Amino acid sequence: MMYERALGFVCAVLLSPFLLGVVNRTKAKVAGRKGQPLLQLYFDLFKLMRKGVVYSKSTTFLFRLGPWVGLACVLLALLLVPMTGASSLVSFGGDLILMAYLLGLARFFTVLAALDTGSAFEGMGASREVQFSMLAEPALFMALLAVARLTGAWSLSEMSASVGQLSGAAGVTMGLVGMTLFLVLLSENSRIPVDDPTTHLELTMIHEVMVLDHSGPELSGILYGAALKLWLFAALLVSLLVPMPEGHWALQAGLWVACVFCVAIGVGLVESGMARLRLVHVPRLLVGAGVLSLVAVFLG
Amino acid sequence: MLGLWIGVAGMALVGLLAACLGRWASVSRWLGGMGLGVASVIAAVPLVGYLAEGVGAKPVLISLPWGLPLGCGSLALDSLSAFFGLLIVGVTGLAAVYGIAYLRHDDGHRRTGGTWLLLGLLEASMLGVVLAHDGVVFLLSWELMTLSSFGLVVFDHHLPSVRHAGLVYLIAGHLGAACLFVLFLWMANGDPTLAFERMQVGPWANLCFVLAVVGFGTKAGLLPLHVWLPEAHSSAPSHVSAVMSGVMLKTGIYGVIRVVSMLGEPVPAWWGVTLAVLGAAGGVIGILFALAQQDVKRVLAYSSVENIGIIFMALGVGLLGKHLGQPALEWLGFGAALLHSLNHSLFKTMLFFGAGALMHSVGTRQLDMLGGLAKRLPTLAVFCLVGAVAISGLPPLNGFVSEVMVYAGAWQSIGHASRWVASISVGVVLALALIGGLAVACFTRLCGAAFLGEPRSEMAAHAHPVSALMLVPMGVLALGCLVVGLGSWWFIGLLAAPLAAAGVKVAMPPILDPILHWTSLLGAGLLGLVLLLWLLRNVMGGTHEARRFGTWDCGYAQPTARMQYTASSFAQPLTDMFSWLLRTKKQNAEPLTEPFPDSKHFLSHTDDLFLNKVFHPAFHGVDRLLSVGRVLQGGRVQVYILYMLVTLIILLAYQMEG
Repeated sequence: MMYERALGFVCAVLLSPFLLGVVNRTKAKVAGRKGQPLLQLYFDLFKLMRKGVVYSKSTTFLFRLGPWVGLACVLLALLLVPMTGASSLVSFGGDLILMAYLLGLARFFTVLAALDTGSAFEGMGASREVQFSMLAEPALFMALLAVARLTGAWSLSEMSASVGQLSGAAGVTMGLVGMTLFLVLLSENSRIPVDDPTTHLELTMIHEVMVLDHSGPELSGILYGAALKLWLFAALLVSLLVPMPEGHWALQAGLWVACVFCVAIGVGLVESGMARLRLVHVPRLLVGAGVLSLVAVFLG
Repeated sequence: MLGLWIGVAGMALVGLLAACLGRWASVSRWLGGMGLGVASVIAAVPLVGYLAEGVGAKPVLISLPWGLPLGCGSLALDSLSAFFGLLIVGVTGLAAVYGIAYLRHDDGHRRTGGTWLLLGLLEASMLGVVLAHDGVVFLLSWELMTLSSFGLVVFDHHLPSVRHAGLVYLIAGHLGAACLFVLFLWMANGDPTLAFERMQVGPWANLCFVLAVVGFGTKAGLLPLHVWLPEAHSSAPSHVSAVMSGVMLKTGIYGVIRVVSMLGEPVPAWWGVTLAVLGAAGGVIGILFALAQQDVKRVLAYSSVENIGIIFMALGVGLLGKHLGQPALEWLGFGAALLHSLNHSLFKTMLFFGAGALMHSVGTRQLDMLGGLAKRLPTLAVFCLVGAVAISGLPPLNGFVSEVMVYAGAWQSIGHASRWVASISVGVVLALALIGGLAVACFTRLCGAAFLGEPRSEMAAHAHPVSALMLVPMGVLALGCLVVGLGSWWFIGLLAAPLAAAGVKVAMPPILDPILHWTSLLGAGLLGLVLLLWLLRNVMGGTHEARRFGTWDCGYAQPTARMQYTASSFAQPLTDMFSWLLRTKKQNAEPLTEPFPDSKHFLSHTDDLFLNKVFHPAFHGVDRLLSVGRVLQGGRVQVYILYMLVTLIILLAYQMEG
């Protein structure tokens, strides 16, 4: 049904800042703090949209265009991901390649906007970002390939629909796929152990430092895009790994959203339990994720 | 057909005329450039007309009056030839117009008239290669193509590096041509006309395939035969590099497709596997070496190696589909190879034009001396950005369409019953994913170092504006990239006729249609959404003023341009990770030890691994082996006369015996 498919997209657009709030509240509770309000990111987004903006004299039109290209790419990629137990709004054989490359386009423009400022810090973040994404992308493709081999489908919605019919023997493969997708989630969304979203030590940031010079509405576009990206990866994880039971569509949707919040709580727990890895170890982590997914491909 | 003859004759005549008028530099330039452009358009018209006829068009056979004992002077125009011919005339015509402005700064210093003759001969000989229908015409055109492009490569022959590059190019070209000579003679089976239609292969199909791959792979730039590419493409003038990278490499691809179609059925499995493996290796290694180069044109040359690798991967997938009898795989593989040839011609030509324009306005090609040029040269920056997005294979431009076709082909057989077929398919997907990530790194590095940030040298700070004659061909190509990207669902229909002529007798697989339609739709949607968000931001969020200030740089009060990341530092995490492959040579890399250090000079360069570790040792080995025979060359005339006497006696004895 059309409205079932649209429901997932609407949830993503409305609820993704809330997801980050859940992550932050989990971290606060584990640390024994009270934590920010759950709706903090919404307040931040509205505040930033009303603020004035400072542009660096070194920047060009790319700096002002970058955040909107990134946001547009993530919104279109969300159209392709199956959510709330139904299929995605747009689904066709091969949509997973388009989704991955749309995220690549967003990254391309984010890196260029960072290099536009002529600052040593943004350049550093951009350089690390392209290295880590180069390692994370094959891991993502291999994980999706493993699921494709198991289910025989090559559209994300079909994969998500046929996950429920897999036999128990596929459990090991799906477990490896789940680990890989979770590691790719942590890497692409700049979470610990790959990057620390709360550090403001310039030499330890990757994503945070790429957006250091953005302010005002551009910064709100970037923060919202980042929230949507976290929702996208969490949605991918839940749709591919958790088969939804039959039932009323509202019940399925509610269960699915609850699972996404569980993923967010999981991210928060990982962030609370670990420190950020040393930068030389992060490529090893990502290559390890890739190897796990290759094993999953050959097991299935 | 008449248009084709007029065009070809025009190319040669215009070139000759421009060479004769070399003393009047401006006249010769405009005559050469405009003349070649017009000749290319005239030659393009019948090709477009032929392609528009679609699958039903019959091959047009032409017989030249031929007096030589070998060969029969036959040419044939079929859809595959027309496809590659259109690429040739299109790119060379635009390069000729670009060359008018590019060669302007040589006016008064040196005569450039000869280059127009060579360029005209190059274009005519490339057309001869794709139209040839017998072995002798093919080999003559091939040799003329190699020699005329050699003359163009050594344009700056006062530089020793250019002379060295020319030598490497000549040797590589002739080693490849030697394989082709053997190939055509073998396939002719004693027939003196070497006509393609009478060529039979018999039991020697495997040997012919190997000869074809080595011979055409050398021209196309397949790993490990690509060693001449970075040297030649970075030494040639930019419009020549654009022609070489844009279309001359594709004549190698054309040759492989043509010979494979002549070898016919059955296709063994190892053909497809070899091409796929070599292509994947070329793709990954090519883009890694591109990340380590500091010269803009060397980066683009290695990126050509990467894209040729992708084309060969697609050909490998197609051949695998032919072997397995899977029509979808076959169509997707060969179709992706043809489409990526077209796409690569579009964006690589545009990027080489951009490199030439950078050289002209700034005066240097070293990435670490550029910077901040987007503010001074905004149009050039936009076109190079379009080229960078296209070459990284990102939607909504054309690079993504051909890459998605290769993905589609490989993805079809990941669930195949046979283990090794599934492994090859998984390997192709993995290689493409790696290449995609590395290409994004490489081209953000190129665009970022050249156009963004602050100028890193005085030359970059005082860049001259770029002439319109250089920007217009780039604009045409950028538009082409966008049109092919957004209109892929229509362009794919144009491939049906060339594919049928290439021996792919199957229909377009139905899985391709939804991908292309949705890609085009979402691509257009992306452009619209970006525009919408931009407008919303200016309407809603523009209530307060926008201030201009220095970069935040974490509060540094005195930032300089030298504090920003250079191209080398941007790629450093990746080049360090792959240092075992790249083997970058560094001079003066020891850390400073004195408390009051003097100024130091650090130099690093990455040479081609295969040139240093494979070809140079191999040639030195052959040299040492053959120098054993130097003992025969004593230098004394009496010994030589003795040799002649002994040979005569032996021959007389043999004759008398027989």
